[in-house]
Amino acid sequence: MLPGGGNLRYDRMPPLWVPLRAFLVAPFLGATAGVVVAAAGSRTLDNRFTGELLGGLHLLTLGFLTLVMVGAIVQVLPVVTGANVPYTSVVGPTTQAALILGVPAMAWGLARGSRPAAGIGAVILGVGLGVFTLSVLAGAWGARRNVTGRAMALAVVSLVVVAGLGVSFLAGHAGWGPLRRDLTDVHLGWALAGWVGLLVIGVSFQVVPMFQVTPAYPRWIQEYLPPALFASLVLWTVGRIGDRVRVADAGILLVCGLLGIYGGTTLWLQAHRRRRLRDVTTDCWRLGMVSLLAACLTVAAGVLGLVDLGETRVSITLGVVAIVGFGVSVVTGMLYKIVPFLSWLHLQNLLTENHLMGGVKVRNMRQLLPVSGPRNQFLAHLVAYAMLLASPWLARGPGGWVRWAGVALTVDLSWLGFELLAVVSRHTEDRALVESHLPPDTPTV
Amino acid sequence: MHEGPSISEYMTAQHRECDRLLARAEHAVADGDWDAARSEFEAFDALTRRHLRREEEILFPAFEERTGMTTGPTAVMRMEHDQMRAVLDDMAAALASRDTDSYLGESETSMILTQQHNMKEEQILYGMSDQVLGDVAVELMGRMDGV
Repeated sequence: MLPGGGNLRYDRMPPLWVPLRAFLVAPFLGATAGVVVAAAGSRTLDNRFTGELLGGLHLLTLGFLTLVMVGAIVQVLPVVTGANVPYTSVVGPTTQAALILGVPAMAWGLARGSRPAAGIGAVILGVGLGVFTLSVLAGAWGARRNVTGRAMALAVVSLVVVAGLGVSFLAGHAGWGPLRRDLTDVHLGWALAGWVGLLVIGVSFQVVPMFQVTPAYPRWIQEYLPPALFASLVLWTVGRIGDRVRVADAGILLVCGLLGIYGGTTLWLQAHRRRRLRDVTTDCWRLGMVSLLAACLTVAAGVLGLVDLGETRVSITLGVVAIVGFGVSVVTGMLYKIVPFLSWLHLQNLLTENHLMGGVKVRNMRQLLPVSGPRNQFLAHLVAYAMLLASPWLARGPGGWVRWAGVALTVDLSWLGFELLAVVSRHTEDRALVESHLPPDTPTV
Repeated sequence: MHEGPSISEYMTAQHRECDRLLARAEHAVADGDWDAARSEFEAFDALTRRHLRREEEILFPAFEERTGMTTGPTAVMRMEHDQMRAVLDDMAAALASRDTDSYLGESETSMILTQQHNMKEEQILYGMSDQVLGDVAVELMGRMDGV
């Protein structure tokens, strides 16, 4: 039996609008996190559990990061691994709709203390993420021989843990059951190291060598790091829940060590890339990896008693490093490659199918997304990141600092959104040009 | 037992060499060294087109004959080859008119198009070829060397 033989169909890229919708909406959902912070000001940072902080945080982690990641999985898994995500045409839009509707409801519920909104968010997100995880896990089974497919599967299992806890917390906020705040760290750890971490790791095995022409990740890292990371998270959770401190400490130190190995290896590969041209995606990923290393070192220092991770300012700063420094940076870098490429590919396929190649000239990737806009947006991202890092330490200082950090985050992500919208606008113009050369009544997608 | 490279190894090595040459040409253009850019691009263009011919004239037909799959993976690979050659033509045009921005844009496009194409070949097609064409691998690689 040939590996994936009879099931392979290379032409299984979903229609352009399926993933693109998610990629275009996500930055603006993330930008509203900045609005929440700006509106609430320093009150946001009173402690880890303020409604405004939780609401803003999840607009960023679910509304931006997860919405993009879900879109990328539905897009990437079939092409890279040859596996099929069942019912893509249903699962993709359903999950997107669930996030786009459920996350604002959730954020409103948390930020304003509204029980009905929290409840609505819980139901919508529970159903949407449930549909997504079941479908992808079924598809990932077909990709189990592929290292990226396996890492993605582990990431989605992590999402089950995260979403399960998250929905139960929301239900608690809605008054439907107990609010188990003691499990917050478990939710956080699986979200950052499991869902985001494992997915970034799995995808990067393909795209880091691909985009920057670096050497491949060492085979032992591709084979063993994702399952080892997953096992370490399990170990930590068992220790945490069972109140076995040494087991939990061993688990979390392993998690930090493995993520550190991944981050350091990625930086090394990038330093040895063959394409030396300055590239905003490379800058984003460098910032992301440095932030990942910083977060791992901080957590390890906390376990070893050098830093008090329970102190509000430290824990919020750590969250900023992990989510804004690592998550947002890496996803931004990916979007700046994926969106222009998908747009370009769609135009090329249109030309090819209608035998117009060589006859009609469409824009190349750099013309769809000129370099200056993303470079400046990256600077805005650096400013927002720096201001957010400083926020917990200056919240009681110069008046309005936290508000301005929120504004900076809004500008950062809105700008990203507008850059991507501009790509789509240029794509639409070129598409109209191509279609003007077609006979009338020619069907196009 | 065949001790030399497998079909996967043989073809993948050519992918990496093409990557290296693309990067060198790009760098020369970015530096404004048009003479170096032309010679680097010609090397990249020649090797890439030769590699595509090796696949279309020798590897794919052998695969299709052995598996009976003529409308599957190889059909899509052939289509993408056409797209890649069109981008090569655009790169040559940009080089001829010494248009840095245009060349770098086409090069970026070529890079991503080629990389995702290569990823599919290396992850799936070449492995399948090793399995079904293992007994004629040496002969096929000998013929591809002659292209």
